[in-house]
Amino acid sequence: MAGITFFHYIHKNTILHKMDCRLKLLCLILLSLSAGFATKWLHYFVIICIITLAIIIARLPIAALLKDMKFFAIIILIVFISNAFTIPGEQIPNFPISNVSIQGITAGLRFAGRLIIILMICTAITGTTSLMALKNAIEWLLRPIPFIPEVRIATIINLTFVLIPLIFDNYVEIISAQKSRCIQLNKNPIRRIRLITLPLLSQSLRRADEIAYAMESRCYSETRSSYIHKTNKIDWIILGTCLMILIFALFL
Amino acid sequence: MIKNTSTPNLRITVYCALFTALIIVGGYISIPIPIGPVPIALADFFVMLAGLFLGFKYGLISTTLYLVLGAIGLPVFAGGTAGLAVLFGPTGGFLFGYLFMVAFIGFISDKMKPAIPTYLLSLIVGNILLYSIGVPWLRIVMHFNWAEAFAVGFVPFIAGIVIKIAVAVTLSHKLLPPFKRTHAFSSMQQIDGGDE
Repeated sequence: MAGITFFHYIHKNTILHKMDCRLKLLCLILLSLSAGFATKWLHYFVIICIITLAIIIARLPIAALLKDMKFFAIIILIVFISNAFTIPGEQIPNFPISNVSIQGITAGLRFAGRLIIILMICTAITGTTSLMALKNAIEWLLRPIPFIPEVRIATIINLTFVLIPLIFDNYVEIISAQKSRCIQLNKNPIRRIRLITLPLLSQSLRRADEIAYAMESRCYSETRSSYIHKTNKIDWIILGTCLMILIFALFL
Repeated sequence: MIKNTSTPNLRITVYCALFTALIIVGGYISIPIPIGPVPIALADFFVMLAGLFLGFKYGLISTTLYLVLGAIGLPVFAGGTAGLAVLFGPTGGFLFGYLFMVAFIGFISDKMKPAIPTYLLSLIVGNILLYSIGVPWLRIVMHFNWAEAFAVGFVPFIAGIVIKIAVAVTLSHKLLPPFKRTHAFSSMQQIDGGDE
């Protein structure tokens, strides 16, 4: 996970970067809903085309993104294979491997398609939204819900996004340190998991302490003048497109 | 307002974020198994630890946030999936079960003194709670009978559960007493008292 372009903000000056973050979050929700409801191949195709278009418009580095896809490609492949082998159904005639059913392959492809769509949406959103804009938008969207300290929740979500890559880097580091010390010779699973999670947890707790100190020493406070959101026509057109995709996936 | 911006509260805010992030990372360190739709994940391991370390209220906040982030479409659930379709799909019961597990473990962790039997008891009961919600849910959504639901949703994980509980107990034995002794925890209780 170290040094990858996935889920990182890349500063550019495009329509998607300038789009109001509140509407962008709504688009995220609409698109992920339509990915969940999509049933036909045409739905998947249309959604993938639209998001590819969005990534091209946002001028995100597609080559670098595809290279980083490797990490997820393994997960997608495993899910696809496990689906293809386990779901019962008709056998494919003249296919060398038995136990593979047509239904299984379709289900696996569907699942893989959904995963790819979700990853692409997230890349498009996080690549074009700075953490600060995201925090302001979450804060605004949470405001109408009663009994929720919206500022604190927005801060927690924001900090979570900051911490995820740090923890991943930490994890990769710990794994490689232990591989170089021949951890695979140790067959005791309890000891092996403990040797990964103990340093991971203690280092993460220390990192959290450091972040708290850093925020404190910079006079972090929950009472700040609130951000002024502005929308323009293009933002609403994009939101309308997302709404139409959802309707398309639901009813057509 | 001064109370809300004081130091201890900020620290707990960061810890909540930390455990939400750990649960998410734990979901990525998961291995899908070829027998059924429930992957073996480290996410539930970190949910257990969230309960033990943060207690009832803050453990619940950080687990809820994990579910909310997944529900709005960020790829945080096991293996990079997301969305309401997953939340209400076959494995949804386990995701909602996390809430009950973290609530129970956190409650015990708040009330009892840190000791190995306490951890063991709360973790075992917490896991029973998790699977007593997850397995019937799986059975209803996938139209299994009880034997199939247990075969797919419980039996493959028994070894994993035992390992995870053992590791969680040893970890807590090492890290929890110093964690609770620190400034963060004593102030956390002050804040809890102040809110009432």
